[in-house]
Amino acid sequence: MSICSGYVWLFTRSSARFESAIRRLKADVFVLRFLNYSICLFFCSQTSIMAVVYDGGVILGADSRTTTGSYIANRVSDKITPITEKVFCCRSGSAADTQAISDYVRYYISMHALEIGEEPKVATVGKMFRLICYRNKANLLAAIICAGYDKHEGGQVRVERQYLLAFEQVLSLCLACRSTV
Amino acid sequence: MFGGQDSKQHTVQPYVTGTSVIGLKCADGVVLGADTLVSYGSLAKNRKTSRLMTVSNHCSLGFSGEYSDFQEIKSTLEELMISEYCMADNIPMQPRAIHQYLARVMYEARNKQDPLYNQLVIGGVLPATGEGYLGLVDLLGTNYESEMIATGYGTYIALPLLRKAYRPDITVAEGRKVIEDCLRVLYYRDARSIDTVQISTVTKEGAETTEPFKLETSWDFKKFKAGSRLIDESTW
Repeated sequence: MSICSGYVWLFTRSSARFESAIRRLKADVFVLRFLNYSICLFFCSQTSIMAVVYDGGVILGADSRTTTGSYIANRVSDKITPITEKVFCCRSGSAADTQAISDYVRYYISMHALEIGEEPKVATVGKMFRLICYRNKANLLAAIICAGYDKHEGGQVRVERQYLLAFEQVLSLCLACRSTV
Repeated sequence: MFGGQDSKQHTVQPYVTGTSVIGLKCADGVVLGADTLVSYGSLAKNRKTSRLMTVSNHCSLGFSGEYSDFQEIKSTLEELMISEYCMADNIPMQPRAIHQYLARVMYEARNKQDPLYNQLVIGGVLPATGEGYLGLVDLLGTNYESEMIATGYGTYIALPLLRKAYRPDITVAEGRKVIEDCLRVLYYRDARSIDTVQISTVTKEGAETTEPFKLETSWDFKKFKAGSRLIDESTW
């Protein structure tokens, strides 16, 4: 698989939270600030995925293109994957890596759900994604948005990333670094 | 100051590019097809460019590759057509002549290590008989004539389809449908294409290029519409 990258412009109102998120980003961000607004330019993969929290739950969205270089290997891929009945994830990055990660998470979380006897929390699923991605970061190319609903905290979005911009309450955009799903 | 002898320019790689062009020779003419996108790497830069050009009443041209080099070729051809007109001898220029002229132009640039980074598809009719002519010239000066031509991803995806559909007595109307189907598959499988395309037909009556139109595409797959389920073994 070859590596390719694209660009995303984000135009948004500045705030303290936004500024701190930008500062956390180490590279591949170019920021223009004027008045109250900021424009950011990010490197991103070809995949577009997003998740939004609303009153009542979350909505996840993803495009359906998987490429090998500039050949579309699969034009109807499903990048929104169920982990449990009420928690889903959006995958971007290497297709093989993200499929393997989500399979592992689904397995471990199903065990966990049996142990606690109820629906697992979104935070738990997000943490599980983080564990796998962080501990195997040398061998993985993956950026995953984990989103779902649980009865404790309602709709939530958790983002696992190498580059991250997060407005956790409103919108999460996940940007994988230099990968092709 | 305007380049030439003192500044050694070598075209190393294309920047703003067009993707594949396809052509089919029919019994009563030729059909060329291309989408209307020029890309800047993976950015879809201009979605309304015309990659097909009517050279003369009996010849059409499509380009793939670097847009700026094609613009040079376009003005060169326009100069050529003007000087042909000025000769006022009522002898229209044969498409083969235009093809070979471009082959010389491309080869000369290649020999200076500064190629015009294009693959050009020349489609025309012999003005006397209405018989079709279809040829390709590329950045190295390679030129050949064939019943079906494709550049870029088209060589892998469209050329087999064109070969299957070709019959010696195929009409321009049927050819147009074949070209449209090939463009549709190219849109499905080429990540540097869009679904807005143009088709150019050249017959004894003349050369005409359609307005850009949107291809009908189908995304009707059961599993895709249903989405993933929890009990699926894995994801895709």
